[in-house]
Amino acid sequence: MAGYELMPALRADNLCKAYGRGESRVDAVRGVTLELSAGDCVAVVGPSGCGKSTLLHLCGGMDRPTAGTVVVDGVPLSGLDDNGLTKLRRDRIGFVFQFFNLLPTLTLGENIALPLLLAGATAGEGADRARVCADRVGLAHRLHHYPAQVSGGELQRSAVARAVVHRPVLLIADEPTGNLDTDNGQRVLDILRTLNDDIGVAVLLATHDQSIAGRADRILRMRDGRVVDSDHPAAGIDEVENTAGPSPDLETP
Amino acid sequence: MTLFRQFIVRALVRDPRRSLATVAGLTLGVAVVIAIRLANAGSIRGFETALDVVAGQTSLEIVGAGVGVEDAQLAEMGWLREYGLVSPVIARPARLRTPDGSEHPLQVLGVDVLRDRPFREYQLVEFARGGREPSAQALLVLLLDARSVVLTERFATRHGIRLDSTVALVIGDRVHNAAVRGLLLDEGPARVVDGQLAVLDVAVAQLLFDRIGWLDRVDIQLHDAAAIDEVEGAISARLPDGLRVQRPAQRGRQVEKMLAAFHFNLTALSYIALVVGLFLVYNTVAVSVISRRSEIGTLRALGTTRRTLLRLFLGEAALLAGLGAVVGIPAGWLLAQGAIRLTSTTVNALYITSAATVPPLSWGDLLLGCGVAIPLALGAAALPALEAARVTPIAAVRGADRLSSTHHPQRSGRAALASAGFFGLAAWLATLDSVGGLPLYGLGAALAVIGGGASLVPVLLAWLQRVGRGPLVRAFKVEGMLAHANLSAAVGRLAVSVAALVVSLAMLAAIAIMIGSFRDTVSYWVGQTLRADLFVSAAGGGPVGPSATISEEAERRVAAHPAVAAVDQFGQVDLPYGPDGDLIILGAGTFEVLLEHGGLLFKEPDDGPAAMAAAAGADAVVVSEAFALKQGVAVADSIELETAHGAHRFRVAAIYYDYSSDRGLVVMDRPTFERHYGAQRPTGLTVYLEPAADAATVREALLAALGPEHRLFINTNATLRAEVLRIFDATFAITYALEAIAIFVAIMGVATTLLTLVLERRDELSMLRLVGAGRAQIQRMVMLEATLLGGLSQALGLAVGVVLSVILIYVINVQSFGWTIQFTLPVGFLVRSTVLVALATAVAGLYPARVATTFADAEAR
Repeated sequence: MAGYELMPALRADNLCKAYGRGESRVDAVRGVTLELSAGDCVAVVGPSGCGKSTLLHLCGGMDRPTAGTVVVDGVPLSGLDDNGLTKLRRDRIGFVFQFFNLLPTLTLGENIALPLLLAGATAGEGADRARVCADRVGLAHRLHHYPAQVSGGELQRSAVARAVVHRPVLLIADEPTGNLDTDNGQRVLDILRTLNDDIGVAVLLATHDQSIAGRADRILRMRDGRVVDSDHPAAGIDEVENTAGPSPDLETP
Repeated sequence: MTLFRQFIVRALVRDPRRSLATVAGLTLGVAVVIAIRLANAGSIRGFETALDVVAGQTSLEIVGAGVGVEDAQLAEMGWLREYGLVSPVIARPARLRTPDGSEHPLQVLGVDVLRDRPFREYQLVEFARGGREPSAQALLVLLLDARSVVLTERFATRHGIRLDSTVALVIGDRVHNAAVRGLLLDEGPARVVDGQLAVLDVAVAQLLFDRIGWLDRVDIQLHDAAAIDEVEGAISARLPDGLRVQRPAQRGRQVEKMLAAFHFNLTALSYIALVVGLFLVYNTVAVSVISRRSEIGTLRALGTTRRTLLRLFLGEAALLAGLGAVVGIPAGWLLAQGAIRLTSTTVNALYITSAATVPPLSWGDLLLGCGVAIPLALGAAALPALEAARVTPIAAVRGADRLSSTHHPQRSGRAALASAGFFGLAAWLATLDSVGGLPLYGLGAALAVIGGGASLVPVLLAWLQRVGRGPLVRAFKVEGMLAHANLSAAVGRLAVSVAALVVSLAMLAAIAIMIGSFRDTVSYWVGQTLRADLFVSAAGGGPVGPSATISEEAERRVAAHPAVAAVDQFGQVDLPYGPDGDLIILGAGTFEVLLEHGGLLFKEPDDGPAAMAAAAGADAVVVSEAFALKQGVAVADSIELETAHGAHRFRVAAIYYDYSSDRGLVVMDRPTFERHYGAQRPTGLTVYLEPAADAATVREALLAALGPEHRLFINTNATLRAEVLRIFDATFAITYALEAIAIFVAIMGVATTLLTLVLERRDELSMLRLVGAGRAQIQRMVMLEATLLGGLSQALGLAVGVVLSVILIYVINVQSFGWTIQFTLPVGFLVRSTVLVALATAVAGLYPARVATTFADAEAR
């Protein structure tokens, strides 16, 4: 394998994002650099308003940085127009959110197959692949149910299945367990880790939950838009607890 | 109030496009209602103003049946002076050729100046400048000369006519040169019909109008105006047979009644745009509620009561409707200027010749605009406002209730049942008779059909939900799947605005079918009945009132042409008929010639020509279908007509199809007419040519033979047919204009509904973008939804339109106008309109589609 360099799933260099101008300017992300290879699972922790979600949005091509670069699977996002970003999200990135964000008008099976269908797959291909993914997350029996007919845990597992149905290289999960009870949260995380290990998808997740962060390979702690520490869970778990606790308003400068 | 300002008014200001669209829709609706009211009032206002002003101080008038009052009769009625002053009058239409060669219609008033002074004020310009009124003698000097005429200052100024210049009065077929000896100040009778008045001495007028020995009426000014009821009865009792006494306003009421059905149908049509506009209010308030659920939840959490929320959103509807009314009322006045032009061709061709002017806006219009728009808007907003009041604090703040409004198969059984009920009601109402000549139950039947069609919308949407997915996915892939899912989940929301569009499109289809069928029927009728080669008529005269007649000399010159094989005279007079004094048309023609050349289409009896032939010379008549239906007359019945010798009964020999007037025609053989009404010059000639003759060439030759001294209109068969259809098309131009407005408003309704759905789904749209949907895909999805709604609406609209057209053709039209129309489908028009509606709704989807991608982008960040 000499001469072959493994391409990182995600590389972000000196990422900055500012909103507003002049006195009303807010720097949400300030010079963050990070890299995730295939099979990595990185948790971003920090108090509310520290820039976790903004960082995830920048890495997932949902927003453009004020400065710095993002490269996903070797593709620099700065060189892509809106269509290019759409295609990249559709083909190489998966998303999981706190509020599940499934379309209430589609069945779970249709929701899971949606990225493939949007990419031009036939209904048959989409349904086959959705069945496989639903099976992986334990939802094969719920494919024809609508979101309103299943539990919160099942909704989030469907969202995870949808996030990986197109075999992305990067999975971005913003508070994926934030709206679930402990058992369901752990179950969703089990699935994420299994996928992470089995199919090698790189996972970048933001969370408040120390037990969730503790199961990541690496933890990035953020404050005021900066990564203030990067640790392996065993070393940093206590600090994570501390930083995640108080709201920004209550923090002393 | 503070909460209303902060929560509702600010939100409306922040979203100016949606607020403006709603106000614009309502403005259009209110404007159309006001415009039609004003145009209807304006079309007879000119006539009524003319009537009032010319009537002057006249309290009562004596008129003869059809032909007027004989001079000799007046001489025998010296007793009239016991009751008041008496003035004989000739009042007839003519045309005036100005020095520049153009011709203008005007009303000629022939009066006995000495007797008429107390009735009408004549202020002459040259006397007014000296600060005095003309004496009767001064006026007499002006008028006694048969070559003098007095015009109005307004008319003279407009056409550059100076005092003492010579003008040509075109009366019937004759051209009469006269010197302008006086100009009337713009007061009193001179204000009539925009100054289009000429005053002559009554004897001169009798001579010019071929009315020697006859008067059109005798005006009476009572000594004691308060005793009018009593005197009217007394005079009536003493009048000889063939004459009757009436009040001048009676003529206005006759005209009003004549136009009632035409106006009633226009008014009914004008409300469609307003009703459709109300769907916009529903949508706007619904959007307010949907897009602000979390805010409503917050208000509820902070202690706002359900009643307050209900009031807030109803207040929003009232505010929008109030604005719509305030702008719509003056806009209606402007729109009326156009509407009156569109209706005047019909009114002038079929009813009355009058210079129609739009009356000024009144407080009544303001009350009508606000009184109709605001309560209806509150009704339209009630549903979404109640929804707002039902919002729970927790559900709204969480934003979780959206997820629960999911994909349940729609229960459409109740809607189907309601629809069947509506159609049943329509079938029953369609069998009931008209009320006072107005098709009230027919209109009820039409409304029931519309209700039935609207109730079918949820059934149709439920059907789309059940069977639409497969075909849509096959045809449009993922966009088809998403569009189907979105529409299926929003059946409740969509039903209202789709119903609005269905109603508008059904009305369009029904009106198109009705007009198309009517046009085909008229075209066939014209082809069958207009058999003569040339049609000759005199200039001047309108559809109501004395018609211009053709002189003996002109008739002789026409008949003398070697290519002319036969000439038939046709004469007509207005006659009051029945207890209500309906103004019918009494025609006189030679039955023998009509049977040989005329080609009348008989409705009853089966052998109409034989029945008509048997009626020739006898006291029998043939009547038009409109007359038979409106007056409830059948073949072999006997009808009573006023004649010059008193009331007389005539047997109805046959009923024939006629579409020239909805007033109803009674036609008698010329000898019969002359026996009962005296000899009259004809108002028209029908000319049959030798087989080889070319009509256009003969027409030119006849015009040359008549020379400049006889002014006649000669139409060839082809040009008259074209003219009939031109008047027909002009009649229905306003119908299409009103419908176009209603459809425009309805399509705006679809656009705002889609916008509502887009707002409601903003989170889902951003999620779609995140999982890889391109902008184009989202736009295609929304536009597919729009096109699907348009297509479904058009399909249902066409089906309901066909049913509605049956009600229009066989019930409303028959009850309003008394015409039988053969049903035909204007396939070309319906196909074109379908394509147009599909395109229009797709275009209407553009804005929501653009908003959808904007949301998706914004939320994705």
